Amino acid sequence: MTEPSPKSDLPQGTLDLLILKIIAVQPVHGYAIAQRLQQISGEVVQVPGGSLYPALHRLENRGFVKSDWKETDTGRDAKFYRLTKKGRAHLEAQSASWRRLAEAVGLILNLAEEGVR
Amino acid sequence: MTWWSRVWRRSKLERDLGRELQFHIAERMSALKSTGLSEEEARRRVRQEFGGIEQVKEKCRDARGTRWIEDLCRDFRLAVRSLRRTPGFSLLAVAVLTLGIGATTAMFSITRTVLLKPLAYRDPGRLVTILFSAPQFSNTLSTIPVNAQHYELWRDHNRTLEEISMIRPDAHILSGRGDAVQVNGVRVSPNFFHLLGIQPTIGRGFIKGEDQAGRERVVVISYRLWQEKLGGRNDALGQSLLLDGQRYEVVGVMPKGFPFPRGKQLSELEILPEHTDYWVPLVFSKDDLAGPLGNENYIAIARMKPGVTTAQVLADVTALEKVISKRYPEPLILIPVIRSLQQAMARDVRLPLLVLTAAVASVLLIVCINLTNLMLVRAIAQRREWAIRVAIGARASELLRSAFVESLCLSMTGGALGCFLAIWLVKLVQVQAPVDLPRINEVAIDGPVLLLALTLSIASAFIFGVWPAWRSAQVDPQEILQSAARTTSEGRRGHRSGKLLVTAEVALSTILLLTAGLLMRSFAAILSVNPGMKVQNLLTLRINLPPDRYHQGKDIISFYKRMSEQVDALPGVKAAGLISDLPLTGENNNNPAIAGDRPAPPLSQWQMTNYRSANKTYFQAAGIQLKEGRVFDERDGDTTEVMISENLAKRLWPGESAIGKPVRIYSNKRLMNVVGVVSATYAASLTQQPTMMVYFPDWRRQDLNMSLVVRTESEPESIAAAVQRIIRGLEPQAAIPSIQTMRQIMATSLSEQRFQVILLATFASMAVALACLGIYGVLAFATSRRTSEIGIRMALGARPEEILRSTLRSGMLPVLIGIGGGLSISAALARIMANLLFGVRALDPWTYAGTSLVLLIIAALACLIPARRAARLNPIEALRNE
Repeated sequence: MTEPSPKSDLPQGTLDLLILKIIAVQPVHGYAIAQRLQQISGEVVQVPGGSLYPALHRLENRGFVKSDWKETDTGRDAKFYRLTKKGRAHLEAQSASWRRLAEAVGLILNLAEEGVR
Repeated sequence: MTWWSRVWRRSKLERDLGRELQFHIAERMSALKSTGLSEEEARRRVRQEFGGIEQVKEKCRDARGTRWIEDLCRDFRLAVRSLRRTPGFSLLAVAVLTLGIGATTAMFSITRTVLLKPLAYRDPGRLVTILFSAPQFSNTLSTIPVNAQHYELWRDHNRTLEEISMIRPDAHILSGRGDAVQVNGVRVSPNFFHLLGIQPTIGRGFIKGEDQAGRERVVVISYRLWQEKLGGRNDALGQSLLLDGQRYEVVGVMPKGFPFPRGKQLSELEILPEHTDYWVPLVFSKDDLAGPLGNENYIAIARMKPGVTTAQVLADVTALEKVISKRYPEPLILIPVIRSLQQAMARDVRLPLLVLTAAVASVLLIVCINLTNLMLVRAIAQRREWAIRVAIGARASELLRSAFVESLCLSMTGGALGCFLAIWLVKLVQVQAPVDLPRINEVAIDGPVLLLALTLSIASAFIFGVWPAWRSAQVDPQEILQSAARTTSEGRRGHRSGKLLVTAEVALSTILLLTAGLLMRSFAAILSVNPGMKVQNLLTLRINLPPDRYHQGKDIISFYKRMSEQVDALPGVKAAGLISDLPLTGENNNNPAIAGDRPAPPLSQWQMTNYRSANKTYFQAAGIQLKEGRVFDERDGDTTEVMISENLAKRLWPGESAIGKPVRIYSNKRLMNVVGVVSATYAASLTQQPTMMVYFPDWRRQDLNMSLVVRTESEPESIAAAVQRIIRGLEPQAAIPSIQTMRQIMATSLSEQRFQVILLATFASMAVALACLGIYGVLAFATSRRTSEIGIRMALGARPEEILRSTLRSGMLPVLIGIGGGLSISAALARIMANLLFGVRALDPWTYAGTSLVLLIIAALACLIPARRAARLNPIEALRNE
């Protein structure tokens, strides 16, 4: 049995952004969010319950997501989260700023490598 | 979900949270099991990935953002539980807080309404009254009213006023609607309602020109009169009222509760009715307009132009005074006095109210100090519990919060109950209040007052809760939990804090007791004033004859004569007399006078006198002593005879007999001849100088309105009905507006002082009782904590007297410091107090000594009980007690 691969530390606020992105695709419950994050990130992002659920509740308090209890495919009741209008706007703004930042960081890192060469 | 509903629906949120996490774990378990892991193994993996379910829940609760409220709720539950464990303490604390907060809230609501709440008129800040002060009369009258010529001058030539209006108190007999009654109202300029910005609810106010003779028979009535005499019907408009036999058309009804000044609020001479029931247009008589001086019978109310200050109005009116004073027949200095209407209505009660408010706030402060002490004691008793909480990880801030919440519980309960108490107290004051407490009926426990009660509750909790809470939060668990028993004696710090509290408490009580003592001495001084007459067994009746039936002076004289004869014949009547105005009911007719046998000085040096008409039997009936000369002699019918009061005789002819001397009265052309001198009485109030009085014989001035005084052998009220029957039998249309014994009249004239004394005495006794409890509490607790120390001392040979002495010494030291402090603060405030006192100095040594002595004795008693208990301790038992 292998230990789970070491999680890479997510920068502050990034988890919220990722969660919002997953929810934006379709209404989804907490367990599925954790699964998707893991799958899509190629097992890099692993979110323990102690981070995921407080984050979800925080997003709900801020009005970015709403929740309803619905039946899953397997016939059990689960709490499904969906994105609100406010949440979508927040997601777009945050993604854009994240991309700009990532690009900028990338540029700087490239420059540094050229310098070394 | 809103913030509030997150708090509200906490239990549902908790359930949902549990279900949500369970779902996650179950899904993950089945996923893992489907890959072939055993149940056991899957559970282990889930736990590893997911984390502890309780920890996750805690984090989620934090994320809700309502955590502090939940903690607060929990603290409240804990506090309630802990307070219920000590019901005696909790009930006592809530009770004293209820008293303190309730009394303060009630007092504040009264003070706020009377002093601060804007009058319910349009833009009330711009309303002012204009009066005069005359330096030559300033020893007897602080202000005098104004006259018609001044009014016309101001109206036509001012630059700072938008509008100006005149008011004069008035009274008529209303007949034709049930029994004839006297109704009180005012005469006002037609623009009056427009000036105040309040119009009748039904009908109209006066219109221009209704102050012209011939058009003035219109009346606006009060809501009260409308209800009582016109049945509150809408067809009241256009109906007529018979006032003194004259028909007045009702043109308007004022709104219910229309605020109108009363009593001496606007002027000490023009006394407004207690209930103003009608307004009629003011028509100036020829006399009124005859000259620039004389007939100063009116109160002027004006509305300032926007943005104008009272100082600018004063400058404006003063400049105009320079113009008109050139036309005065005598050199006379009149200084205009401009007061805002608000200020004017609260002038005399401002200081007493502020003093009472300060007093009641001090009581609340003493309550808080007492509770601080009790909470400190409580904190020490709960030390172990706190130590355990610290030991299992409670943070200091959490402890501080829970300790504070306990105080808050007490003070909020006390505050809520205090609001109910305040409502009751305000009602009580409204019934008991002296006549001139302005706008007392407007006092209500409303939003701002409730806000104050809340603030007081929280502030109290801070005062009595924070220090003990802070001390509690500083427990060192190791020290407390390791020491198996109580420590031998209290630390120095705890001891000092108790003493500090006692000092503060005693100082505050000293100030209150001293103030109450001074007011009581002052009240006693007023009561011991010789009123110049015999007050016991004297019945008085006010009689108003209808003017339409008594046109001629001889009709009036004959009515009063027949009435007097019949009253005299009643069994139990010793004497009966007639007077135009009773003593202690106000100054109505003032006129300057001077000795007629000397060259007349300028008017400014004339003596202001009060004149009344009396019949010859009045003096004997009222018990006013004849000092010299004789009373009026009816047979001669001489219309130049006057009697004067002793003080006036001494003032006009110092060192000489006044009998046979001529007296010149400013408004009379002829000289009057003094035939008798009687002891001086008081026209308005026992707190003023005895009034300089001139009595005219009743055959000279035939007054429709007179007061009958009846000296009886026994209880004066017993013959009231018989006298009334006589009056009604002679004249069914006569109104009898008041039947009072002279004792009642005197009591009414002192009601304001009595009100202050009772309130302050109540506050002071509350304060002293509380301080006493405080001293006893601190000392009893200190002694009980020193039990083992005392045991050791006694075992080592200390005698009981020594223990007694040392306990007393440590108890009385802060008391002495407190008394000293209180006396010094009072002495510093003496100048303010002096304004409230009569016949006693603000630094009265007897009151100072008495207060100190009373407090010393009470404090010594409070100390003695615990001290004796300490001295009686049996050393062996004391040590075994541990």
